[in-house]
Amino acid sequence: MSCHEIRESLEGYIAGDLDDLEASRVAEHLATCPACAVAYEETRLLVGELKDLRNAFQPTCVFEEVPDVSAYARKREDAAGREGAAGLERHAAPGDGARGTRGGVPGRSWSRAWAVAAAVLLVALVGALAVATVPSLAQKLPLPVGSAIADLEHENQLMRAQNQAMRDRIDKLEARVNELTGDDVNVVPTSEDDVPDEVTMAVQQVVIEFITAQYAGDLERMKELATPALQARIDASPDEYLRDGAGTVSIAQMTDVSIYEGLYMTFVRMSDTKEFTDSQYQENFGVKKLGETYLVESMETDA
Amino acid sequence: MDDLQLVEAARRGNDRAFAVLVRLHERALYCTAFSILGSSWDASDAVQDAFLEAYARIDTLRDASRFKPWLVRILVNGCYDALGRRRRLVPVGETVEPPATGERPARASTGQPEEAHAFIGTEAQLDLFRALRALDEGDRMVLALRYFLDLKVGDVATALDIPAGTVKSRINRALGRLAQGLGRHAPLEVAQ
Ligand SMILES: [Zn+2]
Repeated sequence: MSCHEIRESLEGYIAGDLDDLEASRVAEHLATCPACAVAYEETRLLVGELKDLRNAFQPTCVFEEVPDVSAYARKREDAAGREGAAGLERHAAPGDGARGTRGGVPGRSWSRAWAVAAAVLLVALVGALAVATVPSLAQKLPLPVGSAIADLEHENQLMRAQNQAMRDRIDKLEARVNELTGDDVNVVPTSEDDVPDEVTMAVQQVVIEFITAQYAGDLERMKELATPALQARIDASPDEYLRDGAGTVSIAQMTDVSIYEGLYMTFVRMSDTKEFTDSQYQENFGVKKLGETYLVESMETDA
Repeated sequence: MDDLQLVEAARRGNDRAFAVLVRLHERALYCTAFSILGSSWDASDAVQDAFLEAYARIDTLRDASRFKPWLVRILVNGCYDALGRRRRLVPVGETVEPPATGERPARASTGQPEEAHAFIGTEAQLDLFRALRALDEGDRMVLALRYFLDLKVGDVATALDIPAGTVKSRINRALGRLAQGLGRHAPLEVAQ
């Protein structure tokens, strides 16, 4: 290795990022090249100084005094009553992050005691923040108090369950759409409407078949998949609906199905091999259920 | 407890675990933000905002072992935002505020936030800090992420959204410029 290459590797060598072979090559070179050995020492020194610079900043303690939380406590007082206070005391057990609570505690009245309890809790919950120093972080963190902790946990669990259910549902829809199109289609959730998955799948299927017919230039098939209203519009201006000059279509993204005034809506992003090669082409579909069959009622091109 | 366990606990809603994470990373983040932004007030704000955002979004962190790079990314984005705001506000170059010394200045009248960190370093460290601050933004950014936050080259690349090869060469270049700023010669350059 040349001196130049060695210099390029020195930083990684000092950080211990090189593999054994590279590291031994550098080490061999350093043993025989005084100039690179000096460069190594100088770099190591500079890196060491930089790392040490962190310690030149000393956090200043921000919880030296009990924070003024009396207003906060009064609010809680109205809301929670006495059981809440018992809860607070339980959380503010001795030695539990009591750092920073030294200083005046002139509490006399019940509400003042409440304020102190709340302050102790605040410090307990953010115990580590007493030495950490981001000044108003502790006050900004939406810290749960008393029974709110349980509520919050419950809420979190519910939200996680909902998110998981949503993800599972989209995964399922995606697998199905991918099967239909042969493309790797990303299904995008749009709403929390209660459109059952069977309906979503049926709607997406008729839409995919319609798009396939558009690109195949198969007017008859398109009309089979359309409501009488759309059939009439296709007859009136077939060129607005035909895509047979655009090459092969590939569906990139499709929304799940939402319902609006009896019409099932889904938006499809796609690319083709001639005109729109960057997945920026979008068709918005409205689908109607006539009898037992889902049929395309409207198709608009999104600008 | 290591980062991984703490992050998992924080994701389950354990605020104390999050607070411990704050304590573990806060100083390194602060130094990073300070060296990027050059103002301790802005740095405190950036670090605080980064932690608040991390706290609010910890559910979206899929891989708990990636907490630190994820957090750094949030911080870096915040610093970019702050630099952008400042450029809009103050178009006349950057001001370099010296780090505060041990004395805590009275700030009540100015409405400034409390000084969060005191500079307790040596004269040599103050020189180093000034030399670092005199580098351009990209250079001091890579050095801060690499040495204050101890990030791997790959994680610096992720945080800054640039290729790892670019990070390596930028670190080397920045070390050279830093050495020159301190009146030394650049150790990684081969003398002609
Ligand atoms: Zn050499």
